[in-house]
Amino acid sequence: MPYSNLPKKSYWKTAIANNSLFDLCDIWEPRFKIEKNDFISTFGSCFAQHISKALIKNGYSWVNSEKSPPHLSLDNQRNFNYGIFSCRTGNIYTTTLLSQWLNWAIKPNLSPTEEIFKIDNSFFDPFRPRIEPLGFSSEEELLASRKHTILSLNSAIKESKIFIFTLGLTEHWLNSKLNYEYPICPGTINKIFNKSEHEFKKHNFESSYAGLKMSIDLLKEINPGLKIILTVSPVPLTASYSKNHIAVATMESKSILRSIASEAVENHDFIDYFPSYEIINSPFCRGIFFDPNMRNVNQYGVNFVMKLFFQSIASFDISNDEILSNNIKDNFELECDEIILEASQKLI
Amino acid sequence: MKVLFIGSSYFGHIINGWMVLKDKFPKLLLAFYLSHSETIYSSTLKNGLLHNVEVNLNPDQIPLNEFDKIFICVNPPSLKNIIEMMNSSGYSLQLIKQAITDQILNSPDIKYVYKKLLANNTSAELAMVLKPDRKDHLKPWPENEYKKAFLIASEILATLNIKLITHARTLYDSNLIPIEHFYLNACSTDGSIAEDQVKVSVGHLNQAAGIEDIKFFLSLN
Repeated sequence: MPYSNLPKKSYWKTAIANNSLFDLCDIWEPRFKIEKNDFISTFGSCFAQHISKALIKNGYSWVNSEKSPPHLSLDNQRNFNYGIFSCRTGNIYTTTLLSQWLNWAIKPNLSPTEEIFKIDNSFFDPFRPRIEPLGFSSEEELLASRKHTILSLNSAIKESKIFIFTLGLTEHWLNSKLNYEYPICPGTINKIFNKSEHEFKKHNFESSYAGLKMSIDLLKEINPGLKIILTVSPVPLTASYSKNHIAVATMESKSILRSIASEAVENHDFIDYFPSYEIINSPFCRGIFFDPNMRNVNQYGVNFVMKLFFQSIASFDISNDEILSNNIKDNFELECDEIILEASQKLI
Repeated sequence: MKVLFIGSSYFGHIINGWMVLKDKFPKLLLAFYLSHSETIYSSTLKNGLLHNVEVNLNPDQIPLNEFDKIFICVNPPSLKNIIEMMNSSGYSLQLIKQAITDQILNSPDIKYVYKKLLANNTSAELAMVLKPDRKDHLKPWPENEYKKAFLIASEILATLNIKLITHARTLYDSNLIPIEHFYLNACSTDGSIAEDQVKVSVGHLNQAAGIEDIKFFLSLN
């Protein structure tokens, strides 16, 4: 009978019900081997930052193609968004925003110059709004910095054997006149919202997968041998403009992202999916991996996810105690553009 | 006026230059608290006296609050590093300034000489002297870049009430390249001519340079 001889992981009772949560195993069987000397780049939503940090800590070869100036302190490296993603793209929440960046990585001149947010005497990049804490001193400086990031993105992809991308959102904002996507609603940055140009959009399965498919094609154009690991951020939305309740909007968004990840894995043998979303969000976790606000993933959750990640790829067992004691002090503030939405709500 | 030089062998030429000048300026008192660069960082301040058994010049204990001016040169900021950073692509001016600020404020000269010994313990005018290292000057620097780098470093040190000063302009040619003559028979930490400095030194100045620098630092005629 088809269900009679399946492995333990295939039955809820033997995989979940009969076990402690912390004995969770076999949740991911990597499709390809990852060695410590394989170069790995990481991009995506806020949660991707945990992956880069854990890769470095565990001795893997994380690609950092845009290095900070020498002597910049660790705190200021974070303030200026160095060492968070493999280069200074800032958060890339949607598949279409990823494809926009990848198009620029192939053709840097496509990066638009028409719109730059100016606040007092400082200039802010609409595509990396929090990359410089106090903004740039001129438009020229901003565009030169962005170009440097675009070139660094290209070299990060070329250098990498594995590209890890954390899918974050389906809701996004476009400039309908100039035809490009922002990482965050533009009015939240410079308090200037233009109804005739700034347009809200929400991906469905088709449009989100189309963005992912285009991104995959562009990644392979830059580096034909590249392998890709997709994850879905377990972090709920900060705010939704969809008119749905935030819980409903979150479930819809994550469901679409989870589905397109599976579709990509089904259709490409060089793509894998790592279930960080399931590890944090499944009912058997009872929400213990969230902070009291039930949105931020706590350090225990991050450590648990990364423990399962490294156990799976390296096939070695690291005791949970060791992981917790090693990493619990790393409870750092994430650099998330999306959090601005929460701050802006307080202004209303 | 009482003047104290805290630093390394980069001030050896001052000792030697002062031997020539001191009779001409009887109201001026110069004292030296010099050691090899690393050992000075372990100095302590006890009852207002600077003390370090490894510092090789007397007096062994220096009453810090008696001095009107204090010059520091152990490992000062390198203008070459700043110019290189300014010329790197992809960095904003704000970022460059922050990196230079971090570099200077986290340097051992600031952490161990200024913060540990001088801050809150003296009302003397403080000045940090640039390293006279010829390696930093092998090719001419564009004067505007040099001035810009100097200005950035000066602004950062000014937040600590420390004035950044160069060596005497007479030690450089018109392209701001150090003149070799001032590096011949260079002086070591105790002011003597070190055996390995008999030829043209890479980073240490001689007595003639010491005379020029003392006049420049203290505006003497």
